[in-house]
Amino acid sequence: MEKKKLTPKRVVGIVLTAVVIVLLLVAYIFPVFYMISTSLKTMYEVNLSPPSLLPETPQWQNYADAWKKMDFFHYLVNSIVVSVCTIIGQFFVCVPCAYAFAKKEFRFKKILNGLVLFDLIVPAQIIFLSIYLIESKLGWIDTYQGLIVPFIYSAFSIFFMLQTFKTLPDDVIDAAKLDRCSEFQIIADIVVPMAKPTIITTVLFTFVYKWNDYFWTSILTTTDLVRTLPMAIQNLMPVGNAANEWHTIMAGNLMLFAPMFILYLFAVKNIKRMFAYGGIK
Amino acid sequence: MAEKLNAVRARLRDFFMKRINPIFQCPYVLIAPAVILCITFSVIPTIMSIRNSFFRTDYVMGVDKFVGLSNYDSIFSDPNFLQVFGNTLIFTAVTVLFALPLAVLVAVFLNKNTAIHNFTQSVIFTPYIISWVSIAALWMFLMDPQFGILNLVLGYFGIEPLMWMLSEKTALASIIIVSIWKSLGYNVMIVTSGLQSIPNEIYEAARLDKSNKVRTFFKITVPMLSPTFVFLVTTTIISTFSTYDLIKLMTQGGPRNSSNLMVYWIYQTGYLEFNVGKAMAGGVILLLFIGVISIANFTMMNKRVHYK
Amino acid sequence: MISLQNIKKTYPNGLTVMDGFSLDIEDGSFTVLVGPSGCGKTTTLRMIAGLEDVTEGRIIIDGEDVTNKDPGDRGIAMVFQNYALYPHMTVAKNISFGLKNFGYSKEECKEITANVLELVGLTDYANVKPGNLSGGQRQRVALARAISKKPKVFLMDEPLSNLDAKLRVNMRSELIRMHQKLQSTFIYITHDQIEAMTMGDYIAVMNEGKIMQYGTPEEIYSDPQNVFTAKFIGDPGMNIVKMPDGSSLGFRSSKTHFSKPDDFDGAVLSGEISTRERLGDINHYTIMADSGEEFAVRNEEFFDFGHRVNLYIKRGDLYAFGPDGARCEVGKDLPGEV
Repeated sequence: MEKKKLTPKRVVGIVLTAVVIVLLLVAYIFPVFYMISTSLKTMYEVNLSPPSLLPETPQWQNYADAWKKMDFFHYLVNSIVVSVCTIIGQFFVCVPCAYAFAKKEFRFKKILNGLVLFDLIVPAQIIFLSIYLIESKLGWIDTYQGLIVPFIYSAFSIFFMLQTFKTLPDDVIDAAKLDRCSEFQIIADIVVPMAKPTIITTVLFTFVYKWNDYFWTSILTTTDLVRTLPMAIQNLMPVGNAANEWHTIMAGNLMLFAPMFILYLFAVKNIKRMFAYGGIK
Repeated sequence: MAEKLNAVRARLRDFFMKRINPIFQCPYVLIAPAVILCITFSVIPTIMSIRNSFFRTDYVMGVDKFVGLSNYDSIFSDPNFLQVFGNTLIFTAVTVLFALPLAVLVAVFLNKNTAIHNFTQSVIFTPYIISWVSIAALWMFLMDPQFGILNLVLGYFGIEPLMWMLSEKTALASIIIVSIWKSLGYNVMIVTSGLQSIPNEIYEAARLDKSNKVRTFFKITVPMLSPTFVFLVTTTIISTFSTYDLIKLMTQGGPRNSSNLMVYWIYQTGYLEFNVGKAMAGGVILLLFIGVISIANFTMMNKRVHYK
Repeated sequence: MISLQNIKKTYPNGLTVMDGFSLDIEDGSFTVLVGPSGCGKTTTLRMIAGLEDVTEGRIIIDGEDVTNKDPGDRGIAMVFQNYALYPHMTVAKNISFGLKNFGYSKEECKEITANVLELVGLTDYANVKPGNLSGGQRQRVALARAISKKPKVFLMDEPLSNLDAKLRVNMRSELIRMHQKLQSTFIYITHDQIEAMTMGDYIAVMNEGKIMQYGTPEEIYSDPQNVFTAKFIGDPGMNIVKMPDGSSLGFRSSKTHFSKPDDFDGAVLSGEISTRERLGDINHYTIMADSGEEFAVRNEEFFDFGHRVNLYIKRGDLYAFGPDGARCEVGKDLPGEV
């Protein structure tokens, strides 16, 4: 392979790229670094003006304080319940639906297909008031089912899985029918395992969406009973004229997004793939 | 003993396959839950919203009167609404005109498969999977007029400290900055995928034609990216029109409506002020905007999927 | 005995591909359905299997009307063209998966799986996934899966089409061996008439949703009942000459003479040699006749390109077909020398 010569043009290119990279890394890593540093400061250090870069001694108990003040455990449990139940629900609602559209023929198929993808066209942010009114009538405000049931139908999940199911070979499913498989077995033992990457990606997407959801939780709840983690940080925010407790707030914030961050580290490829779908290929 | 168990299991399975399984072989049964939920939580709410925009509804008093277009009249003569609508348009315009070209630029710079490039890409993507709450809390801290580091940095450059979210002049700008910061990584990733789908041969042909980097960029890269770009523009517009979390957490629309956006306005009008009819009217307007763009996006996406 | 009675198949879009289709398949036979693409053989097989709905008519297997029964309840097993193995399961699991559904206990499943794997010679591959197997091995797993169900009927949908030529020949003999060993009915689909002729006890030649002829290979070859069968069967197929009155005459490529035999009574066609392949003793010619048609001729005599020849075909070697393509008596007037 020929060695690329170090022409002035190339040097400029390299320098520019380096500048861009450094700027980006600073813009994205420094805030996090500063957040961690603040979370370990004392109240006094936080209120210094100008603020210091690092704490004198790391105040690890800030985290314990934040945990208690936020009632972290309570919200954590709710987040887990809501996210997990939504995913399980989607398995029962979205997977069979995608399977039926991918592998079965029936009248009105085209119309119904358009219908279940309705959600993709109407972003829910606009109809949230009506959904609140509906749930009000059902008595579902401040309940787990209120936060779960509307979301076990997901047009995105159905669409994504539908595309993949369509590519699964029909004769394998025929072989399963000849093997006396019930519809459940076909879906659970054949279709889902064969579409594993897509299923995993869909589950991750749903999980991240539900876990991070602030919008719906704030609309559909009035008390703390079933509220999820994103709402927990409000407990740390200063009320009225109280002093800024940024150290506790940042500690709480860190605990808030740590789960997602850890998940991200483990599943970078998958998460990137799910967000990129629909744009390309 | 084991045979008896087996026999029972066989009988159960027989019953199941003969009676229960045929029900689930019917495709309508398989799609029923999804269809029911879709109608209940997507279709009906949409119809309700549209319907309510033509009514004056007071749930406390039990009033539900048809008022035709008067809700629409009232919002178009409401300076608040107009300002909010204007804010949303500005927000969208700035984001599309600034954030997307920025994303393209960054994507081009980061489009090499080295450790540093990949690392940087992963780093800038991270905020996208973090909830708005964390982002808002972080930036409220960074933008704190007294203790925030942004003002400190500005100070080093000799610039006066800004009031960021607390000043009418800078509130909307603060929101825009945070929003762009969060979505840059995602936009870059989409553009990168688009870049990588451009076959290498085209670049080689350009090299043979002695085209320099800048010219190549404008004459080749940009046109070939146009489907990606279209997707990105439509999704960005949809997401900027739908912004709510950021406003509620950081500014609550203030000060004095300077950073208020459409969805939060609907929340204020309908949820907080109980003026359901008016809120729905605003919602319908938003729906028209987003609906049209979404449909355009969807059909374009579908066309491309079929193309492959 | 498998019996298809008056089958009509109409697709949801309104297209009717079969009407009044009837076929009886002999118990324990190796019956081949052969025909060009789109003739309906795969559709027929899938209807027997229950993978395709029957619009009208009945399907009887062993005296039982299975027309409305689930595929798994018909006592059949199927081997697919693309093997249709479960890609995420090991070879052993591929076989035992279905067995469990049939009610066998865990131990029985294990035993049957082991037996069947030994039968096809894949015992060492029990824990391998299909992705790591060759085409031939995958086909044997598919076969093993089918055998394990001890079905009354084996359905095979062009199982050898995806294998390379040499493997195909080997697998052909293996399948025939299986058939003799298992003594079950085999219904086999292929578009390759050579395969049909070498493997089948009975052949059903199909075209456009109809059976053109049903019989033994010998009957089909030496006694074709219509032009289609005559042209389709044989390598090469029968040469057909159009007569001025709309009927046709047919003759096999090897039953020709370039010089007039003694006491000749038959047809004479003249033409020019257009291609020639020397294959040891026999030469394969295509003759461009004066009428413009092309014929295939196999003969020991050697001629050069462009050479004008006369083809002499004895009356006993001639076949006659009416204007509708159906077989009839050879007429008195035959084309003669020019």
